[in-house]
Amino acid sequence: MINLNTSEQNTWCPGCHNFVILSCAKKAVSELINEGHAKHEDFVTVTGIGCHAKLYDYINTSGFYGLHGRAIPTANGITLGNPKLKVMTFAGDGDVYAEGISHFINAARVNPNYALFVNNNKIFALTTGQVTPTSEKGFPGRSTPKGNPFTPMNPVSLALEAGASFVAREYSLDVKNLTETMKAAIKHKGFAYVDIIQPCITFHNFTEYVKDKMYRLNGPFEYKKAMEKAKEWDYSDSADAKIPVGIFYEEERPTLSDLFDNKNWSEAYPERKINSALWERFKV
Amino acid sequence: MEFQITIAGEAGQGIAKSAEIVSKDFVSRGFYVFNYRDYGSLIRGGENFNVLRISDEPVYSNDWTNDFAILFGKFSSHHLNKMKQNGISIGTLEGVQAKMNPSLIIKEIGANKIVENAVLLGALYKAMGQPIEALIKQMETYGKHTKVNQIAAQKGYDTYNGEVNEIRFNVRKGNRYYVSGSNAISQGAIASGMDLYIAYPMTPATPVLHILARVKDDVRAIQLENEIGVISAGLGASFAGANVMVGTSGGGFALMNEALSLQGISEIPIVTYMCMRPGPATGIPTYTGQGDMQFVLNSGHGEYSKVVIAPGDPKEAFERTAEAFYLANKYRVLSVLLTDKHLAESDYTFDSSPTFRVKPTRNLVNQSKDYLSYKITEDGNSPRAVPGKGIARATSYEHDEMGYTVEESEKIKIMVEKRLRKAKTLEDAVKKLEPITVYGKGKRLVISWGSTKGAIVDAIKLLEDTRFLQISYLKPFPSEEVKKEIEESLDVAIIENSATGQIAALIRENTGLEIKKKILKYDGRPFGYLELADKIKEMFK
Ligand SMILES: Cc1ncc(C[n+]2csc(CCOP(=O)(O)OP(=O)(O)O)c2C)c(N)n1
Ligand SMILES: [Mg+2]
Repeated sequence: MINLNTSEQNTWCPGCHNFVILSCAKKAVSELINEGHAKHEDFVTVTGIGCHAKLYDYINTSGFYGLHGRAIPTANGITLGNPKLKVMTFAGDGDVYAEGISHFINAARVNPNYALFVNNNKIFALTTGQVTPTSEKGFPGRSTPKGNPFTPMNPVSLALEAGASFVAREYSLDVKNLTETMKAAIKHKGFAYVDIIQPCITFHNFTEYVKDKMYRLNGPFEYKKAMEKAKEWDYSDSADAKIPVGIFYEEERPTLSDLFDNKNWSEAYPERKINSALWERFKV
Repeated sequence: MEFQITIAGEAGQGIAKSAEIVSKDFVSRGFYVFNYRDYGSLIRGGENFNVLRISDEPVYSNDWTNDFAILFGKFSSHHLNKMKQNGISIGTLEGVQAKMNPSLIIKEIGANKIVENAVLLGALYKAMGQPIEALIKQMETYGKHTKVNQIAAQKGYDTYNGEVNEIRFNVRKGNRYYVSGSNAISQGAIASGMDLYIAYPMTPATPVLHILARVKDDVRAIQLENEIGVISAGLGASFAGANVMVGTSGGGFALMNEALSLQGISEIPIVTYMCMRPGPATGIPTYTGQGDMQFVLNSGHGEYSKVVIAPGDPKEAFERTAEAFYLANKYRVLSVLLTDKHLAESDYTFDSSPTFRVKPTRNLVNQSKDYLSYKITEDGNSPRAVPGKGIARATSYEHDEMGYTVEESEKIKIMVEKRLRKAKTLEDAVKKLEPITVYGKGKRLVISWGSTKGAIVDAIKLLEDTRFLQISYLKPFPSEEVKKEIEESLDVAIIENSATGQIAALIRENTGLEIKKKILKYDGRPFGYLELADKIKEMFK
């Protein structure tokens, strides 16, 4: 049994849903290893910056603790460098939907082969409670004391619109389904996006709001139906909302690395002489 | 013995291609050609021109008066007063010595408008007393348009009845290499074992993206969504084990800054090709300047080591690209190849091949169970390993040897000091790579870096008692070497294609010596060698 724990001191708030997400991630990785899907050394945990990103310190795999907003392009590069790696990218809603939104839309389009988990607490948590693009209108964040003036974006329908090849939503406390969907996302060949609804117990606790509104999809669906389902909830706090969770959509198409021949450059490594013959190409 | 030709016309009239044909013909016959390209940020309408300086001795720059000119289209009249005494101008403009009507000639042969330039090239060959067969042979590179261009050229040659100024001199035989900076960087990168080139288009760095996208070698050129995406993916790919170069100009480099700083703390090797245009902001996209030097040296927040290399010509660019990859991989640092439009887009002729001071290395160790991504070492350099074979970590936070986040004062100091020790290690490494070069002899010294080399080397041949110190490594800075050269001189000036002369500040920072004399040019154009010789003479009067 591979030990995925590290001895780093955990600094999440007691009761933070990130503990659950972390344990689901470890469970998913260890089951995938046991099922022979991948080896321990193949996994790479990529993170952005935020509370969610501390996961890098708490999981014993290779890892890349990136910049705020840049987990996606960093992961793009990792799959280009070595397409055999199993990359799990954890990012926050601030990371992906604010700072790095252009990377999200373009990644959905070019289909890099990795799983993107967005720990969506509808708040900038590590910077102590400002609104993000998925915060509901009226929410009194610390930079918007009179209430968030803007309506939220719907990242799930955006991902579908942008061409993501795997789109899902899960809830941070649903251990069984979150673990299963994580595994499916990691196994998916292409850009697998999972929005994890994760109430922040300190700065934005919407547990009561989502608790009774979620229902399970029997997806994946064909595109049009998936889009309809994606639009059922607009990330607002409307009282009569229904929040579908599960897999909305899945398709297989060439990945970013496929398009560049899936070369594993890390293996193309014999020490060699400089190929000075290339200078001869300029001979007239 | 030498002469200069300007070929000017409207964008879209095949000016650059005409210049290439003439250049390659002369180079193939043993001449040395320097080809300066001047074009605006536009696709059609507006002027393009090329200046070809052709000689039986090596030449690395041009000047601004011509022995011959093809002036074609409505924008080129300003070249009329740049003719030498016995110069011959040919073209369609009012005021040229030999007026031609290529549109009539192409009608006669039933050809398309785009071969009008071939008519004028034929006329030029007659005016230069050069064999038309040589031009016609060179036109074989036109592919399916070869025949019609050849007919048009012959017709131009036969029709020309202006003056003839026969060029007659003997050239030494031997190998000739005709190459631009963009081509040299591209091939140099492949030669050094690059796997991936990642970029977002930005003039004047774009030609490298185009060249590498076309090559059949085992490399991939990839365009991503923006420069932040480019450098982040570059670091990701290098972390995974690829040998990566990213490329851009000033604006894109500005966007890359946060991730360049991430390079500093994560110690992931990467090479950045930074090709300057004049700024600020969008500036002058298709013109040249060296004004981003201090920005590049000081790029990335935080305190960490990097390498900034400034090759002076395409051959050096080929050699120094190898060093950029070597140093990046060996010491897990960022190597910036700092060039500009003038170096990237001018073509130079060489008669020898590059020599290399380094062997390529990916510098990967076999991971054992106890591999530490940030092992504390005496020289500050930690062994490099990649994920896939064992555990490898990279992080933007301050960290311990394993790569786990730390905030404790003792642990922070240990890692900061490890990185500091790398600065000294790099300094020692760069000392072995000929960071400076001195040209000529004399008590008076001009100092410069980068693409000004060509005009300076050509200018000091015309001057007495003047030598040239070229600084090829801006970081780590070869302080002792530069100090010694300055102290051995009676008079010193710096030369820079910028408005403020940033190399003077860099020299003062590193040697304590202040150089007050500055020869500067900041109109987007490179120095002409005669122009520069006059300015140096004036400065040392
Ligand atoms: C370029 C940059 N801007 C701002 C910050 C400050 N910052 C750190 S975490 C964070 C927000 C994190 O929010 P989110 O991504 O939602 O993660 P969470 O803390 O909610 O898990 C910000 C703005 C930063 N680190 N880098
Ligand atoms: Mg958040």
